[in-house]
Amino acid sequence: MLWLSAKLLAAERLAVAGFMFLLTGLILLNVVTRYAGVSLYWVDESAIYSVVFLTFIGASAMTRLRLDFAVTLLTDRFPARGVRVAKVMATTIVLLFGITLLWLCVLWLDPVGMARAGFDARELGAKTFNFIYTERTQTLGWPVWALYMIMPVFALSMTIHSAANLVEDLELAPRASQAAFLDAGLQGVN
Amino acid sequence: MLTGLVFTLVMLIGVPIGLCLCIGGIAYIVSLNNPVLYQTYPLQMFGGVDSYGLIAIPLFILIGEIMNGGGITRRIVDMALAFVGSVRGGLAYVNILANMIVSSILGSATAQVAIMSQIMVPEMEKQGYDKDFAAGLTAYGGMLGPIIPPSVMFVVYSALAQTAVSDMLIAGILPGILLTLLFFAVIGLLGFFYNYPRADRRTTQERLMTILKALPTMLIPIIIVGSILSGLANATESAAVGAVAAALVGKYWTKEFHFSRLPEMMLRAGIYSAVVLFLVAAAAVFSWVLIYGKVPHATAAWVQTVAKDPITFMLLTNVILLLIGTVIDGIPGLIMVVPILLPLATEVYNIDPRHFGVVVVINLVLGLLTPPVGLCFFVAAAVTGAKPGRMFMLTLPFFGVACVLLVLLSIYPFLSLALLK
Repeated sequence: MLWLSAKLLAAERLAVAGFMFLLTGLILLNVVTRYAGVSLYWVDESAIYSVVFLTFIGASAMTRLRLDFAVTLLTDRFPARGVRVAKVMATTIVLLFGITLLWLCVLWLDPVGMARAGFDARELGAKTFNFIYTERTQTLGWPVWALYMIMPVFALSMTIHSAANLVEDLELAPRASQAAFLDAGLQGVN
Repeated sequence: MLTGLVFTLVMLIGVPIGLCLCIGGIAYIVSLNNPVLYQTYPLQMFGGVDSYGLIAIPLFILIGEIMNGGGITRRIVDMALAFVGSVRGGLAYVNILANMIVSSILGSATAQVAIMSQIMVPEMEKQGYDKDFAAGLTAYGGMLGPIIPPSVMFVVYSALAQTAVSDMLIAGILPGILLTLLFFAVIGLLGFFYNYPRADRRTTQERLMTILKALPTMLIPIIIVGSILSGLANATESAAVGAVAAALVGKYWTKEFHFSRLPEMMLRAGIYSAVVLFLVAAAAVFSWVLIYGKVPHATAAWVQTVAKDPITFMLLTNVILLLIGTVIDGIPGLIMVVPILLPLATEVYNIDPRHFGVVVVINLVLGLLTPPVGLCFFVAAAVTGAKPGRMFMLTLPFFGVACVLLVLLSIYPFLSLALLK
């Protein structure tokens, strides 16, 4: 589990940096092309989806890096053993949330229903009023279901990361150092 | 009821706040057992960040990363030092002034406190200031980060309130300047009573040289504002233009920025952006659930029985926010409160959403400086080794004037709206 989480985190780091480059590039492209009088109509939508992907891939990495805000007002007053128990409980809840979100994504994207409809999107829409597979984005013209796939991917990767965190919190393995991020001294971004 | 109970319970256990919002939402739809809500849940989360205004957040955070890596902040402090000169409490004024200048480039209080504490606190300590006071003062200086544009919190508010990002950013300028002046007044008074040390004496020529050396760093805020005013870029795009300006100043003027370090900066900016943006996505789910459960309606009914006019409503909002701010930090607080109170403010009390946004954001920023959960104090303490409790006590007069400003802003809307057309 720790190995899988580490590999996943490495891929997520690459993806996050990549989407940041892409986002900055797209916005600058928009400024330059508009100034030159040759505006590209699809840039705004591409930038928005870059941010959506950045959010969920980064949020998954954030789970493993334990960078998210939590209220530790009560747990800080617990004795050492109590702190450990609370941490295990909190990580277990995150793990259960990951699994639940995955299940909700299955209900939403309905792969079983799609298979039953013979992978015919119109047939699925007619039967279940689920039109996800027939919709396209406004300017890029991409199928929206392909973009929505970030949600099950996020749910799965968060599940894997929180399982790895749980292994560490149960002290079954030493806690991995995330020094590169802590060195930055930034604890949040309010 | 169940949603609130589950939310509070998981929050107290120490589950990250964004996930507490998501789990609260799940508890609600489980209690209703409506299959349509189950299917809509992931879509609501996706839709929460599917917004053009939010693009500015990663870019503003990127500017901070580039400034930090490019030695730009250090030059700004030197410039503030040269401006202030050898007056009583000189370095305390420099602290606030440098924070004000940095605020015009950075948009995040905690990022700013982390950067400025490293520079200002050792310098002030060397001059004979109490370390806890110096760290506390830097934390208050960091408060200006999300008030003076650019501001991550105003961008989040704009997305929640459906107001123009540029309007919100402009609305923060006057309150930011007022807060700076109030902080100056407090330093003046405290300096008189506690006999604060004077800053090192420098010749006029030395001061001019320092200012000249640091002046190109001022190109960054000028380019950000100029790109908007000239129509070259909108408020969102100006952040990308600002990032390029910061990189160029760091590369060719301070010569401390290296393009080889850009991927690392992009990664850090991306991850920290995700921390904020995921909270926005979680808040979208939570507010969807709140609206479905008619919670804003019920809260509205209660508030209306207590507050009969807009001023009482604003003052009541301040009290509620100050209480929330003691335990919940800025952006999470913002995304929990705005969906409930904003409809009331605009529809019942006819308050301008931009005026309301300024008061809410400044109040929640002040929450970053109130115990027990005062993130800015924790960051300053982590960086300098100061004690958060003592920091708060030594800087209480600054808390007092910030509260005075909040009351003034609540009563006089023109203080927020004067610069808007």
